[in-house]
Parts: sequence; C-alpha cells; structure tokens
Amino acid sequence: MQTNRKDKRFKIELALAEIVNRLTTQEKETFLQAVNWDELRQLREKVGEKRRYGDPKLYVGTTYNGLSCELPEDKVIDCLSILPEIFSSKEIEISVWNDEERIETSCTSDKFINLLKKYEHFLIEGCTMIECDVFTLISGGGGCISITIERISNKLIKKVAENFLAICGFKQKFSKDKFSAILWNDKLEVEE
Amino acid sequence: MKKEVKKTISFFEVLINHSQKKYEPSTHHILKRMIIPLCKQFSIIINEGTKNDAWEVISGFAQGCKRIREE
Repeated sequence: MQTNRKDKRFKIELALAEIVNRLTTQEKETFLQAVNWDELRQLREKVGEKRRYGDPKLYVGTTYNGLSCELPEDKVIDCLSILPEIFSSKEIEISVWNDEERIETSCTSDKFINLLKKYEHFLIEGCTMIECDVFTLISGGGGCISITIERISNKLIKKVAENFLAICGFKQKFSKDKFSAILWNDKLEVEE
Repeated sequence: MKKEVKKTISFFEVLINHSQKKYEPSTHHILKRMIIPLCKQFSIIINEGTKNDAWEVISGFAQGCKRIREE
C-alpha cells in the first residue's frame, strides 16, 4: 500500500514536471508568481533523482506478458542459448533480418546455439525474432531484447531473469512476481 | 498470424514497454532499436502485405493501446 502511494505521488510529480516543461516562457513567468521557487527546485531534484536517463549496461524487468532486457552485447548469445532448456522447447523458429537480407529458418534445441553464433551479426546490428510454442523473442539488436510468454509463468520469468543476471556476473534471486534489476554505475539496483 | 505482422506488432509492444520503464532510454536507443525496425516493418507490410495484414497490424496496435489505458 505504501509503495502504491509512493508510486502515485511520483507519477503526479513527474506529470507536473512534464507540464511545466511544456509551458511557454510567458506561461512559466506567470506560473512562478504562483508557486514557491524553493519548493519547485526541490521537486525538480526529487524527480531527477528518481527518474534515470540513458542506457544502462544491464537491465532485466518484467512486462505485462514477459520480460524486457538490455544485455551486454558480448553476453547475448550466452543468455539466449539457455532459453530452450528453461522453456523445454524442442523446435525453434528463427527469423533474422537487416537492410540487405531476410532469413527464416528453424532448428531443434540442440542446434540452437550454433544458429545463434551463425547469425550473431544480426543479433548485434540487425533484427531477430525467435519463436517456439511457449515464447517469442524480439530484438532490434544491441542486446535490446523482449520476451513474451504465451502462458505466463512467473516462475519461468524469474528463472530467465536470474539466469541472465548470473551470466552477466550478478547473483540475484527475485521473490516477487514483478521486478526489475538495473545496472547503473556498476551497481545493480533491484526493485520488487 | 503471418511473421511480418507479428514482427510489426512486437516492435510496437517493445516501444510501449520502454515507455513504461522506470528509467528513460536515450533517444538514440529508441530510434535505433525500435523506431527504425518498426518503420522497416511498415515498408514490408505496405509493399508485400495484404489489406488484411495491415488490418491485423492495426488491431494488434489497438490491443497494445488498450492495455496502456487499462494500466
């Protein structure tokens, strides 16, 4: 309950900051006649503190139907290669594409890692969609990966996230169904 | 669902998911990893798809939009 209240307050603060940002110079002047400057400055610092900007080196977080990840490029193949085992997938379809070519192929789980290695350049600088009966993975490259799961299993989502983090050198166990872990300044910040 | 339709809807979903993160990704990241792939998919749907494919894409987008309103 406390978290919800905090979240709601944060959303109001963020919305207010957004509104102020969109005001014209004249409107801002009028606005400043009605509010206390120190309070406004404190609000700005608070919002700035909470909302981070930029691209983290590592991120895993739940979405409404799966997981969103920002993985280091050199860990993408290692991370993706564990998916068939976690989801007990036997047949996997892979689509990779860039400006020059579009390739669609399929394989059994034991050949999956070989195909990932073969198409590594698409994983890094192209687009990829990996499908099986349980999950669909989509990536615009650079370790930006989104996994949707057909029949949501919080246990499996946690398992994928924990394994991805372990591959990237972080030991983390999630206890709740909704979570995120983000690496800022070499420190893993976890929210559940 | 055809693969190209699924890819298009999926990139739109990725874009929505990024807008709901607790941090704000760089504009470069959004452009390169989501908008450009989405634009390429639009070209494929226009050039190679059917009217039904276009309809399915829009329907998929609408479902994503509905989810945002419900959250």
